[in-house]
Amino acid sequence: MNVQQYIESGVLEAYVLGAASEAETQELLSYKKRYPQIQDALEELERDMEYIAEQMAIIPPPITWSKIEASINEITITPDYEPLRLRGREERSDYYRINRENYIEVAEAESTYIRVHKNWKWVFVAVFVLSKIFLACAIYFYLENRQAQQQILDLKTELKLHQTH
Amino acid sequence: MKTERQILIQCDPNGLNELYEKYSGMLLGYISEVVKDSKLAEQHLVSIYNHIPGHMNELTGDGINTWCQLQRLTKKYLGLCEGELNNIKLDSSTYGACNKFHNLMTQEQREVFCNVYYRGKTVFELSKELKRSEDSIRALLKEAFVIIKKR
Repeated sequence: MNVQQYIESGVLEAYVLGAASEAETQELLSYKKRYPQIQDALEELERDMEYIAEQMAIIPPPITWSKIEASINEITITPDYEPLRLRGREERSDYYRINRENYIEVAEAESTYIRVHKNWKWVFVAVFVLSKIFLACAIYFYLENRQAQQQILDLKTELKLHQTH
Repeated sequence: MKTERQILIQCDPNGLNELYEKYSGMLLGYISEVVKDSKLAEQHLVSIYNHIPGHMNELTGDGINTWCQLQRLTKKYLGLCEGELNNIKLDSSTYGACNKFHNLMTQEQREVFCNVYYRGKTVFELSKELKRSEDSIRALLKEAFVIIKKR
């Protein structure tokens, strides 16, 4: 069999697109085991398929995952796990590098939501602490000021009494 | 009492999440192109991910390209909703409007590629529909991929 001719025929493309007949599929799978060139060409095409899909990717709304979880009605305690070994993604350009673990999803309603990076947590903490410090300072200076005003008032009264005597 | 799906997810509770993180965007983009309706596409995405736990062993493992398998599963699922797809008139120029490859293809290449990629038609079906030999359909598919490789 002429392997190169077979690769050039377009059968591999039809297969990866799911357009090959059952007979062609069986034939291809048997050739794939026998000929490494066919195996390599097929893997390259599969990567091309991923590339095409990456170009059209649309990031789903953050609420979508919650919908999936809700519909499965899964209530489990998550055990330690080994990540799935998913082939073919590592060497490709990442169509989106949003690491969902780095984000807090705040869902207010189905249609409105905000997505905040976890780094903001420390900013929020700092703002919260500073606001408490400012509040304490404001109360302290208010009391100090009130006390000083009272003292001035007392002194003025005293002064007036001295003057009348 | 737990459903079969719940049990399957409990076996590998993070597997589905990992598949979601890696492929949901690609899948949503693909489904959106097929159904041409973002709301409906999201609904299909949710349904497909509900079906995945029962097919987890088909999607992962040595020698399996997860994305291609996931796309096959999606095509199969969308085939079940054929009524919806049949209502969408095929116009290859509307597919992948933002897809740079399509603009590089000839009308024939685009027609064959879009019919196969988005409508899940086989080479045999297309050869009958377009009154061309199966070899010429495969050749057009090959040419379309050559264009994609050049990107």
